Amino acid sequence: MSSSSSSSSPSCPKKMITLKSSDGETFEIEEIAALQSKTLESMIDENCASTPVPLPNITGKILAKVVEYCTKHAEVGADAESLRAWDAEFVSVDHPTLFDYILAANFLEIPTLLNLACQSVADMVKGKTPDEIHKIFNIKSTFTPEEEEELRRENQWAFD
Amino acid sequence: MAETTVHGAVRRESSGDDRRNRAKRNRTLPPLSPGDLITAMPDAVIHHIFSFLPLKDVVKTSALSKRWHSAWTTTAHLVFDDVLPCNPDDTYSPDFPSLVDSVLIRCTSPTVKRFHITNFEYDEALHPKLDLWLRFAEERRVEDLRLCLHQPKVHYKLPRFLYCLSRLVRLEVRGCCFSLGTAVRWPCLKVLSIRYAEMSDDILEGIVRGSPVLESLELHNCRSIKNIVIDSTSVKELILDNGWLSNFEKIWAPHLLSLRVLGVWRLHSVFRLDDVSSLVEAELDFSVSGDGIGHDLLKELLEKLCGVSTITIGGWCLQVLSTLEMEGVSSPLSKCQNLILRTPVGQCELLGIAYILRSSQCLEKLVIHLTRSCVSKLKLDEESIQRFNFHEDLLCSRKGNFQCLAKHLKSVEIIDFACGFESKHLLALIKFLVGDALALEKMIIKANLRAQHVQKLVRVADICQLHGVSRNVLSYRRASQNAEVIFDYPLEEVSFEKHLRKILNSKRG
Repeated sequence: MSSSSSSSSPSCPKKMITLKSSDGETFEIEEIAALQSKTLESMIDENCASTPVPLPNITGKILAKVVEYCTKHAEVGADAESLRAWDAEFVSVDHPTLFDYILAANFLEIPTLLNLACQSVADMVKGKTPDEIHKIFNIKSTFTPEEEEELRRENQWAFD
Repeated sequence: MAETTVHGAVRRESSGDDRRNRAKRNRTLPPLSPGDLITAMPDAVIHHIFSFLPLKDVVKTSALSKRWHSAWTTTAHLVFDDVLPCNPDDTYSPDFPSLVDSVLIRCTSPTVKRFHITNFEYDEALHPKLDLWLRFAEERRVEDLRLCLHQPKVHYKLPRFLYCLSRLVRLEVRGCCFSLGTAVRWPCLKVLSIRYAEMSDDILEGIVRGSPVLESLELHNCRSIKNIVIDSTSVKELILDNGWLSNFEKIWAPHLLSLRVLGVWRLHSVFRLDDVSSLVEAELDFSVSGDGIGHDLLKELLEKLCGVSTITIGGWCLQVLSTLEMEGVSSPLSKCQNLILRTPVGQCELLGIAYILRSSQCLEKLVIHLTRSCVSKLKLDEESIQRFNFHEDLLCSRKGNFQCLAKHLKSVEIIDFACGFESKHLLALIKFLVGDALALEKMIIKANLRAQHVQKLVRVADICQLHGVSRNVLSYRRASQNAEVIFDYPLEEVSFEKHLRKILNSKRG
């Protein structure tokens, strides 16, 4: 298999910033990878990122993965196809984790991760009947059968 | 979803509904069932997920639960596609205009980012209705508008208000006509695609003038444009696709960076590139019907494009270059550094490749995207076919002329090898390049096994053949000591099967 050659680091160390999860874990991330988050980017611009950045609504487990995602996507010279495959692996997780990714990407404003995770959810919904969607996402239907019948009639073209 | 939306929706619902719903207004909604994570997502996220779904699926969410009942009405992406219904036994299939009306009347989002109407079977009687739909889009400050009419007998005349859309960023129209008289004002428009439209030089000029940040312009079968004059510095890309009805005469665009000429053309005369002095990238992937025109056009284009550093050439054009090579036409020298070919590599293309290699004296990178046989093959007579019938040494006999091989060619990529590895001409080309490129650093061969034709390759015979060919390629004599030949798929039998199985499983799962 082809090997990718990584450039050796120059004499000056890479700039890192520290992130702190809701459960107190700290994570280091290269500044260049952190720039993928618009939230972190504006913090870096305004010099607020020198002390650990508290992220009270992201747990350590999820933050670790988000750091992994940003670091991978900041790599130079990765070819598009292998990155796509890596992305597909990244979102093959259980639903709670997937939704946590979405919330984290939404909060940190990481458009690539948000698109990736939302597309993943959309793929689960596409072409399914409401009953199937109920099962996949544990949604409880609160309609009576008559209400549901009326609903389907309202937009029948969508339900055929 | 956030409480405000749910309450707001309930209020809107009950205003027109029966007593039953009005009574519910004051009742608190039932709690979410545990594990129902999607309903708890913020509105912005739900909308984002909607933007990846076809409209049908978005509307279906109304039946999920009371909280979801009106979520779809706030979607900002409205994509209406007038395709034939797949179920002919449908007892209730509303006609397309009624369907669009019924959705638009429910939409409450103040901004509709995307508004698409495609494949629309339009006739004159629907003119006022289409005007109304576009009014809706205009009022909701649309950013991405697409209006594609399916072979209309009479083109739809775009209403005046459409010429002044302050938020429009992308516009695609097909089967419409523009008119002079209203000044175009599209201050945010970046991407414009005009297909099968009645146009004129003045209208085009007015459009470019009224779109100060326009970056990409695509003209697809536009009649009545003779001169394409773009003096705007913002337009970076011009795409000319399908000129079945066109009769261009010249292109004048001194600030243009990228030019693409694609599709099928029928020309009576060659069009000229009067000024494209800033071009860095050009793509010539077209075919021309009409005797001899193709040759003259290609000669003219290559001459004017000699300063462009990245050039892409398609299969039909390459075949024309093969005939030029046979006729002994001298190739204009070019400064091309990156050459991309989208073509099969067979008998009719090899000489064309020789032609272009000879003219590109500074070539550093060559990429070949292997495709299946060209759709519009050059019409060759018996004599020409005889002349094309040659053996491997033909390339070698011309090799003295390939300057780029002596000094510059560093990288070669062959993409979609699985699509063409049986061609002896392709193998001859690879052997030639590896054996004569003195500065070669890397030759990367990608098989693109994840694509559709993975299923076909699974036959054991095919795997063995691909292996055999790949191992052969590795054994070719190399002119450059540093040259690496890299395959992006494993070459050992065992790991290859595992690799394929992994791909097939991921496709199934």
